[in-house]
Amino acid sequence: MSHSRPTTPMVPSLLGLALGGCEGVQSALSASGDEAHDIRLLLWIAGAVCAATLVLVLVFGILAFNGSARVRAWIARDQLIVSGGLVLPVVVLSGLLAYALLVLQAGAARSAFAGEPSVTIIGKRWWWKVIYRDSEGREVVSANELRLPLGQPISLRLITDDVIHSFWAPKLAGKLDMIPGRTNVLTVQSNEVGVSRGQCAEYCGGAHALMAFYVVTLPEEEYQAWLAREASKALPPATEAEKRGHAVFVESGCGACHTIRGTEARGTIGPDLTHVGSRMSLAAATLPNDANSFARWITDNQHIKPENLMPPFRHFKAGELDTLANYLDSLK
Amino acid sequence: MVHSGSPGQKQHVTSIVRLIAYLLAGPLIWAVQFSIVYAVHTLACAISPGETAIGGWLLLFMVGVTAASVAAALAILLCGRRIRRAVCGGSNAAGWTAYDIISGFLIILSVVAMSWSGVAIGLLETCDQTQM
Amino acid sequence: MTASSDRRLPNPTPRPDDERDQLERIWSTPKGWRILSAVNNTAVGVAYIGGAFLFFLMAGVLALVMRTQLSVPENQFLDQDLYNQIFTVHGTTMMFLFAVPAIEALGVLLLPQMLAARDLPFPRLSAFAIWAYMIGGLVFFSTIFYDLAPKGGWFMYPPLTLTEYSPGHNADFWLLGIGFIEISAIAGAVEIVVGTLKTRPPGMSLARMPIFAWSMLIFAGMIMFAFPAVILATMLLEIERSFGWPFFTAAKGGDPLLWQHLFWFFGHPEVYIIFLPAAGLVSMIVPTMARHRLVGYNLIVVALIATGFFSFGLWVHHMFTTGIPALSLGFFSAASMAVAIPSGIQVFSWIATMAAARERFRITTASLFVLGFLFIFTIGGLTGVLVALVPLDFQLHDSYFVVAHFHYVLVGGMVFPLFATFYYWITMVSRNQLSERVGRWVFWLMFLGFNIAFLPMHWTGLSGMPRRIWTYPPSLGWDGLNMISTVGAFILAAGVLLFVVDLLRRFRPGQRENENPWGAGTLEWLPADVYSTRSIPRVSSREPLWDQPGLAEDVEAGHYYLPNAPTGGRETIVTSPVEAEPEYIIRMPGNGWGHVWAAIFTAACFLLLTVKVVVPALICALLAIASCIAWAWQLDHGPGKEPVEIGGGIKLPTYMSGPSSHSWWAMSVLILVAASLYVAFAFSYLYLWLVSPQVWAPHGSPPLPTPSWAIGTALLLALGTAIIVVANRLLPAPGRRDIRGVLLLFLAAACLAAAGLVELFVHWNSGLRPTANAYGAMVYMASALNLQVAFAVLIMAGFTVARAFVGRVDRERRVTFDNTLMLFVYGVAQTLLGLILVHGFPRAVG
Repeated sequence: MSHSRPTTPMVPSLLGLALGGCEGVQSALSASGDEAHDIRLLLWIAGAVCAATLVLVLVFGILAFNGSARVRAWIARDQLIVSGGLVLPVVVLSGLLAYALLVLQAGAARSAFAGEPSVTIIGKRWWWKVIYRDSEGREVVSANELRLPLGQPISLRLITDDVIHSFWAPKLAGKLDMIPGRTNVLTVQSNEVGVSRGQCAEYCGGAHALMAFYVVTLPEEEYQAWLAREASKALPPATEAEKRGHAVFVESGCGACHTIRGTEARGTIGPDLTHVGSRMSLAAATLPNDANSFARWITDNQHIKPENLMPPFRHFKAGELDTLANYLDSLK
Repeated sequence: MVHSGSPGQKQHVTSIVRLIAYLLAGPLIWAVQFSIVYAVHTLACAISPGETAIGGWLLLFMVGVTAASVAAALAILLCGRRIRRAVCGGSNAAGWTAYDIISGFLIILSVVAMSWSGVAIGLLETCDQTQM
Repeated sequence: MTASSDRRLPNPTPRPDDERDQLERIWSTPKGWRILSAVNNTAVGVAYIGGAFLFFLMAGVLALVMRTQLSVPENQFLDQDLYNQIFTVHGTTMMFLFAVPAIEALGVLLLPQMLAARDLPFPRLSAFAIWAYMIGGLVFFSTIFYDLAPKGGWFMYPPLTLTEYSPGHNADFWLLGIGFIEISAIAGAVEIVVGTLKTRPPGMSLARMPIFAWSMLIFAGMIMFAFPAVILATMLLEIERSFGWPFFTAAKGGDPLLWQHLFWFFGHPEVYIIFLPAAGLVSMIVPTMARHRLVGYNLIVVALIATGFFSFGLWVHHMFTTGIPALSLGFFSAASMAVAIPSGIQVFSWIATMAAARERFRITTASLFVLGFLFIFTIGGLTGVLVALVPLDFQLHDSYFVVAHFHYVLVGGMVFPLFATFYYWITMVSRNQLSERVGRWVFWLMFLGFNIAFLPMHWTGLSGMPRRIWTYPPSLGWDGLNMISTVGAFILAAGVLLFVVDLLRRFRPGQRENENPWGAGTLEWLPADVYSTRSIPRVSSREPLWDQPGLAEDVEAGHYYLPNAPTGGRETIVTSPVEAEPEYIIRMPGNGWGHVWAAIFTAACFLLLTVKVVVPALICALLAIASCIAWAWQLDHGPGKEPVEIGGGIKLPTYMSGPSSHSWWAMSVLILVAASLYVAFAFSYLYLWLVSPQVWAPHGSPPLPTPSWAIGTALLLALGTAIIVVANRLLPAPGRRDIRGVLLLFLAAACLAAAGLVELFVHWNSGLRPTANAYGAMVYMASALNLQVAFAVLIMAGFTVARAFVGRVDRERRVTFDNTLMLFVYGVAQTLLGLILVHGFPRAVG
């Protein structure tokens, strides 16, 4: 089964984005967002306090064994229990609690400042539908990738239409669940141009492990340009091969589940494919985005991402699969 | 010789119930304060999200309940032994000293817990999400 | 107590020779396959702990399989579906089939010995719980071999676990598995509450109880209030899966978060339900190894009570990322901080006791495990503070940091004390001790393996690795950390394996040679046989073996209370709950088969229901009830014997009814359990209204029936109550047969059932259907819960009638009657509350 291994996508160099090394691309410790920054500082401070407490307990523990009789008698008193077990925790924890609540309040204040959500992310089994609202109020549907303008607070509306998922991009912010019947709003602000990775954090059955996404932060102008491009209809097939690929797409019934704006394909069950070729990955950050991966995905997706809701298609005549894959790859 | 609900027996039952009430006085007050504050807050924010008018009253109510609970717990702490003698009877024998200590420290811990929920009330926005 | 009063022994003269033989005969454990009918706490306790440990080993193997899969990125050792099943079964088995039962097993095994009671007050109830748990647990675990295992995680969040997203029986097997632990936990709570409060030795006031008894009492109290929430939750989930009542479906006014509230209202206390008794064990071992009384005994009791109490105010900290208002999160964060303090108190108490050691704290394998526990648990507690800080939890929740945290808390807080317990108390049940030399290896392998496995996971989680994923891509910075964790897991497993080998080599069932190998101070180290101690001592301190010289010899010589078996059967002394003054002699049932069959048929019924084979399931249910009746028929033996002398001039009755009787206490515990279940239901009803008021009557559902129906139902309940008052008066004098009273009791029970049925009828007539929306589901659920109690009352009333028919119910021999009456009164109260909620609430807010 080794041929069917899920592979992480190569980050397309054409985007010209600095990734700053892969390690840490999904790490809460290499924060690039405001909230993640605040939380990391809280982590270091609270972690240091806890480490100091551990050292204190260990020192007392060692003294209880190896201390002189006088030290041991000093330890073996009710007063030690009261001061070490009651007074000390009350003092330390009061400080930590107040600090943590202030961080929480600061986050809430940022959210209030950010205003109405401009991006809706819908958790699906097992991918992400992402809907941007541009300045004119038009909705732009995309998938498995979140693009953000640099340095601006953006509110994300998080919902689901099946089971509970949780949206977690550790470099940006903490996670927030997507719960049926509820709408949650997460405010993020990315302060570094580049790519980071996120993943579903609430177990959602089946392919939960393979439900990831990329976050791409762009400078404001580049973001606006990208959004305008994303809002446009699909590029019409340019070459003869792409036309044939489009025909295969239509004949195979792909349009029942997928939309390619500007064509007759208007399905809404699966991800919108209008600009699928320009995304960083396929199948929710499971495969790199190239023609070969499209072909593998179409024929072998149940091995690559078991239980996903797309059936494998293997009925193609010679050459058809390649033209289809090339066509999809051309949808930049 | 068969007992059936004789006064002596009932006394044994009530004596343990009273003792438990005395021991758990602090945590019981905490439980009441915690339940009221959490339930009323959830209810108020769910019914009228984002309304500042109710926010003020709600804040006042939560602070009031918390302060009253802390005061009640401290009152029991200060005159605990007298209350215990009235509620549970018992002497100053060794066992009762132990119960006094247990009850007293539990009140202290409960006061800490209630004060901390007061810290939360003081530091956080009263209602901030439309969802409960 | 001074030495001079110690000399005043209750039975100072030498005892007759044949007494010991008589005790041995009465308490003997049956041989061969008949051992299955045994009920003695030492016999069934060993089976219980053995079963729980077996589940620990099997779930541990699953952990190794998972660690193997995760050792390298993109591994294909396991496929996705199997991995999802394995992590679900691992978690469920460890929590429900290992941790809680292991604690209860220790309660069954050790508690009566520590209290110098001959057995727990309801020996057959323990045995029943154990057999039901073993059968159900093994069937549940075996589903992993036939691809039938649940795969929704041990927390089973809907809607993932609803039929739409989890078709097939897999999820139902989870509900089955937890059903058994619910039964055995409630049975255990009854046993332990009554055991600790009523069967202590004379003189052992509450303030002199061993800490383990305190912790078990709090454990039982927590079960009484925590388990009902999960019992209700599992009922709701199974009903939604089977019949489509939409409790958790948002589109019909339900809410998936209702499950999380109920589950974690149980689930968080559950952690402390596991941890507190383990801490209690540590508080027993540390003083022995220090040869010094526990420093801060009172403070440890404070810590145990405070932890137990505050743990009910933490449940939302498992839901910090669900989008609940910040201030609510703040409340639960504050309570989570508060629960950390008592752990600090305990840690410093143990350190103080070690420092107080005469000479030096003795290092044995048991004390090594205690020290390992202290280290690991302290780290787990401190990382617990980190996850309790709300913003930090936004990052840490559902990441490997949390996996690390709770393994530190649970393995540190429960498994290490359990191994300490094995090394320390093994001689309670085995002739040989475990090898101290091998024990050193076991400890160091487990300790190092554990830390190598779980310490790196903190970083794995901070680097962004979520829980419950079967595969991960390379180059995210997780590869090396995962490989280290896997290596550590196998080292830990090697330690456990070494322990098992040593156990198999050395374990020889029977009584120890050396009565008190560690020189401990508490009563479980008195000389003992199958009947427990020869006589039941009067204690005057917390460590009687240290403070009352010659106690062991006097107890063994029968100089203390009840050195014989005056009623000719199994018996122990019941004492008053606070001061432990002798009240009466409880006559306990011996070995039997009724409870065994009841367990087998209960398990069979649940299993058949799981795979939806309804008719055989119902037959098994009837057989289970019949077995229970056969088992209960031999109880309530009545005041046939004269009061007996137990020594020291104390004459005790041999039968008791009313508020002093153990049966009254057990019934009270059961009623508290039922009441907390109904409170959880009322909470659920109000909660769903808060979430979806639009489906409530009269706007979103058919209007309520006219108030006259509710009033009529209430009158029916009043009528039943009036009847039962008369029934009570009509009980015959002792020795006479008169069934008028019990027939009226049955009539009253019928009124209760009729009230429940009328409710169903009027709602059905109003056009409301349970499948329509969450409101309808809740209205019918109220009736379902009321009818459940009414059904139990009816069966008990029928049983009482049958006993009256053969002259076994009268004004004195009335425990059966009283129990039915108590449950009836509770049923009336519950049904009335249901009426107010169902008929009153929508009118009040509509």
